[in-house]
Amino acid sequence: MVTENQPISLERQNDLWVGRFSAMASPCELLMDTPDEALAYQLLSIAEREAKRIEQKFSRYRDDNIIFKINHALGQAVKVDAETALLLDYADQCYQLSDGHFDITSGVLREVWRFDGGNRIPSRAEVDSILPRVGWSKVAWRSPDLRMNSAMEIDLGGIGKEYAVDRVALLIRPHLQSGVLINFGGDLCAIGPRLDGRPWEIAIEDPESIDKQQLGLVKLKSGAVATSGDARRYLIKDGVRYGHILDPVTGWPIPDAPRSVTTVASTCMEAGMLSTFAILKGAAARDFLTQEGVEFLCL
Amino acid sequence: MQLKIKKLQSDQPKSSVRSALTVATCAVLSGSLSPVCASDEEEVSDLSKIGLSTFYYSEEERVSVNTTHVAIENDLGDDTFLRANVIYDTITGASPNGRIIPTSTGGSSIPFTSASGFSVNINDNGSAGKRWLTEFTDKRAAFDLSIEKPLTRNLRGVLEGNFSSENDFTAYGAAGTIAWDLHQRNTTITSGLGVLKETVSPASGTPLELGVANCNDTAPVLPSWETCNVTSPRFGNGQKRVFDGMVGVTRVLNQRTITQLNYSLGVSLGYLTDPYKLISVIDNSIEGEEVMILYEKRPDRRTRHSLYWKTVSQLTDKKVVDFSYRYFWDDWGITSHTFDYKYRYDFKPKSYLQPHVRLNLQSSADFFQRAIDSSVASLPQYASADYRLGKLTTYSIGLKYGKELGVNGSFGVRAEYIVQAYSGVDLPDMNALVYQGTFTFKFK
Repeated sequence: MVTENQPISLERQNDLWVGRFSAMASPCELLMDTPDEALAYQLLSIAEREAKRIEQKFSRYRDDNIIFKINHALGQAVKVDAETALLLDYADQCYQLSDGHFDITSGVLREVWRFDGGNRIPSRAEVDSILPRVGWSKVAWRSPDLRMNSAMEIDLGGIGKEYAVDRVALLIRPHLQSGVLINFGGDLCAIGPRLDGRPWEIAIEDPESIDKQQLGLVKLKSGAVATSGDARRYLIKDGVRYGHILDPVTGWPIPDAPRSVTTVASTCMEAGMLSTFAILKGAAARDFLTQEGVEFLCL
Repeated sequence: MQLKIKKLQSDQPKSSVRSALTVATCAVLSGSLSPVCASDEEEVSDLSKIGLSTFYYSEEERVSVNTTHVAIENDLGDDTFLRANVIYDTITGASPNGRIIPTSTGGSSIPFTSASGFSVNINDNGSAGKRWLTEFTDKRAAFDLSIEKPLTRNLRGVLEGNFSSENDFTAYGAAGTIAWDLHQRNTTITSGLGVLKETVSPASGTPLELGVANCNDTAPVLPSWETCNVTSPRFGNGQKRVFDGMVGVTRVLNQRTITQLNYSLGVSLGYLTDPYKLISVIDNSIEGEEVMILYEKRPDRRTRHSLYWKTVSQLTDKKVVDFSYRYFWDDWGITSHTFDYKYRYDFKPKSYLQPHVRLNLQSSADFFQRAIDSSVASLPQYASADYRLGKLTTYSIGLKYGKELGVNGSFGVRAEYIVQAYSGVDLPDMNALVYQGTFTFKFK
């Protein structure tokens, strides 16, 4: 997954300044309800700089950042900076809250699971051979020091994009005179209503339908929407559909998981994690979201 | 395909996982708000902080205090902090010494000057009307040093040492506190212990408690239990030891509200009397005229308890309310209620206004009295007319303005008006004004 380096662009569309760039393997978009082009450009620059900073700092595809340093420490302790420590603390709390089903060490399972639309299912033995290298509880994390087995890896990909949305929201908020909608590859955050006081309208589409059938409409003045469980990444073998979200406890895809869960929350990180937790609940996803009092859409 | 958008009911409580997630998310995002984090690709560095504060307190026609305070916090990394405070006070003016205030018909006719006017001078400049005040000037320097350090992942410890010195007073102490974080740091349990040793050393020694300071030679009748012996002995320094213990719990209720409950227990042992306070002996048969002045006497042990509750809630992005209540009681019979309310309103650019109101209601100590009646059969075991041990009602109203200066500095100015009303003593209400200016600056 290499980000196509789409240059930054800003254009006027339907009373809005629309800024676009790409980062974190996703198209990123800012809808700015302001007539002020200079301000729009300033906000877009802040957003792009922050998104690129986060990508550079936390991407597992680079060899010059803290994630690389941690994953190649060969069992030595790594001292991390304060921002990384906060994210690791957060990942730790999510691990606890999900009883071990959300796990930033589960990425090594990709060595045997390749979700490329094909039909190759790994054997039980192949999966079992990876499992000893999975498990946040095996990592010695005492902020700011992290030490783990050299065969293990961490990946903040399950948090990074939502974090970037919330960070951008924080950074541009002091400059705002009117509302902005941030959209990083379908993870969204609205900061303030439209100029005329109306909420932003976010249409949720079925990613699999050709005519982009609208499944739901969320109206937001402020708050965030996030989706987990990309429906385009799966395997089909003998008529059984294997979703790409793996249970780090078993090493196998979550059975009966919804293909996609969209939730609304006050921050994008919270919405994203609620969606992920729901998918990790498998068939109980809807019950979980209902019980938690979350506004959601489940496919 | 089942489609459902479930609307969140406003009265529906957030269940456990979601609210824990809300707080965890908030911790990441508020933690990352620090300006250093926002700068491009820069590793977060440890900042140190210095704070300067000047404080002026002035009671109308009574005491005024000038305080200069320097606070330094040095971030040693690894969540370890070294903090130091230096405080320098100058105090001048006059404070009620406990004697009755003369009226047109009866009053204090007895002259009295303290044995030595080194730091304290009991006024006797011939103006009988001022004999209820003690004039004094004093300087105080105080210093404390503390270190905060994580012990384990969820346990933090603070060790502190402090020292304070005046012309006639020294104190030194030590304290230790442990804070234990639970439930993803949504709950913190704090426990602390402190010890303090204080020495009061008036220039001519401490007076005999309930000993005679002076008397009216011409009074027709003196009390049966006391002779007019004005050469009562004086002793060395007065020493006391103070022990304090505290347990508390702080809990994050939701993204916007944090609440705290503390209980503290303190025991003071030793010389607890104020060597500069007096109490009048009055003769009610001659219209309550003062016939004798005694030095006060307090018990040599005091056990104090206090319950403290505080809640801070961020109502909106711009409005924060801060409410606290303290209930205090001790075995001298004093109880006190303190209500404190602050409302902070943020406005552009990076400024805030914070109105403040406070109310304190205090009952008097069992041995507190305005004066001793000369006709009582025997001298009471303890007696004090110190208004601070009497029934008090104190109101404060204030306003603070604060502003951030760039990303590394901030300053604030505060003014407060205080009214203290007494009952059971002759004192008129006291009005006081406080002005304070603070400046803090962060640096590498």
